Amino acid sequence: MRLSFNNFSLSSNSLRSLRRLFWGKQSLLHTDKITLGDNHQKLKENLYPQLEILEKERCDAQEKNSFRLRMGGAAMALYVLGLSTVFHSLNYFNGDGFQGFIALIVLPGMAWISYAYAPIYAYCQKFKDLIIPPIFKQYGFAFHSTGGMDINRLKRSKIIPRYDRCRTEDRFSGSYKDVAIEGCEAHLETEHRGNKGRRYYKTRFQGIMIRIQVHKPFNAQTIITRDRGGFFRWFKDQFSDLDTVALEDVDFEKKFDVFSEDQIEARYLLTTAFMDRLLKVGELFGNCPLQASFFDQTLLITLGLGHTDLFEAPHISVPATEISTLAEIDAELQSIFAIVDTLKLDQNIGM
Amino acid sequence: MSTSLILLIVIGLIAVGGYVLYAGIIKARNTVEESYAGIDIQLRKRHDLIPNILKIAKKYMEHEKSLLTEVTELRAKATEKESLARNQATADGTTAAITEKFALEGALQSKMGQLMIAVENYPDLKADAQMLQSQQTYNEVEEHIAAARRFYNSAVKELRNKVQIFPGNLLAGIAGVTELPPFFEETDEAVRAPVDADAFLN
Repeated sequence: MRLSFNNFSLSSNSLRSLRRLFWGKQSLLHTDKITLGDNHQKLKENLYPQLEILEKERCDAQEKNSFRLRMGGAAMALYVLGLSTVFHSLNYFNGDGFQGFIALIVLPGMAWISYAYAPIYAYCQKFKDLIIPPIFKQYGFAFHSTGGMDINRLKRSKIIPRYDRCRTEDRFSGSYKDVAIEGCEAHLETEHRGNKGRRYYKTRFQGIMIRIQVHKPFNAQTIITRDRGGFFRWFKDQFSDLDTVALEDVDFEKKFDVFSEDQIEARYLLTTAFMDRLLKVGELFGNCPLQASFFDQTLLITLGLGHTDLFEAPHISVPATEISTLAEIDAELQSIFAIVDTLKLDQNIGM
Repeated sequence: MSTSLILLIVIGLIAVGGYVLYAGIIKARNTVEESYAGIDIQLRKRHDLIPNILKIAKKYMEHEKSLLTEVTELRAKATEKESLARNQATADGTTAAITEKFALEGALQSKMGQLMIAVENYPDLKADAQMLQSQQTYNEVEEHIAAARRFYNSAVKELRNKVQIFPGNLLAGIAGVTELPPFFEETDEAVRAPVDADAFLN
């Protein structure tokens, strides 16, 4: 999304950051409780020096934010009053004058908000860079807040939608139970033109992409997409090199369409047990749109969460030393591992 | 619109609909043949693998000679049936032949399963690197056979639906489907019987 007015625009990255600041981070998990364990306490102890520094910075950021909001608010109020008086005296409120009035308020207003919340944004970014990588490192994973997987390379999976603009972040990679995993958050958008020729973007995918090594050898590509009805299946059959694969699991067939280069290999990969487990993975993530593709000896899973709020700093009001923050980030990472456990990809048995 | 024009349109629609149905039945029949051939390819892999396993097992399994002999004989019979022609899947009088072939392969699979269990009683054999490799390969082949069977059953179901539901049943004869191929079903009673846990624990 982009807010634009008379050639000034605020990117959706900034808007997303602002949304997080105002309303807090959306939790990945659909449970209210996270059980705190010894490992969280140990993590807190290990990270305590950094957490202390961050806590000071958090308080500073809150103070600066509060000060800038108050002073800026007062200045804006005076400015709006003065501007209204000038416009009223010059009788500029009719016609285009009113638009100009709005522009002269909105633009400085947005600048004021950005300036007021800049310290909070800086704190959140620092939290992400200092605290989240060590949480990943304890599991042997690397984490980078910027950058992501090469989405162009993933197009081979045939489940990446067409996009004109792509933003990735929070890239992670490592090995869990001898299964190589890499992933990132991604936001893919297509460009459109409105009625007046104004450009706008529409989200095609927003969520997390995870690529997992598969121990079972296979040659053909098999893709699992969400069910889009008989006509889509027929259409894909006619105009694609992939054939529809009709499987036995009724619940699975209701939720997904499966296409493959090889009917036998598709069934070799998608055993009845595996189909059941894939349904469970969907439930793990709140039944968000899930698609998967077996290609290049890996399994790519895309989860359309509708946000890219994983692995983020907590709300500014939450103390940096709060253990539940660490526990929530840890739990989000565990949910990624749960995909491997649920699908039994670590076991060299029939999937 | 004149009556004759309406009649022409109706006849045209019936003809088009009939052709679409006919083409659908032909397509389903061909898919059954394709899936049947797919099973054959996987069964061939199993037949090629069994002699290697038997060769390694013979070195260690002195007390399992009867089991090894049974496997050898079943494999020989199964290899003879390999040549059952693909297009016989839908031709007259071959449903029985296909059922017999599936039963034979089922018996062979069952005996191989017993052999793999018997291997557990021979630690030296179990630890043999070649045996381990063969077992892994055999498991992969069995998984592919299971997948091929699932594809075959899916194709047979599709064909049966098209041929048994009106008006497909009127066109089945014209499409050359005079006998419906059988589903693959597990015929080995030992596999179908419920597991008695007491027998293993006592």
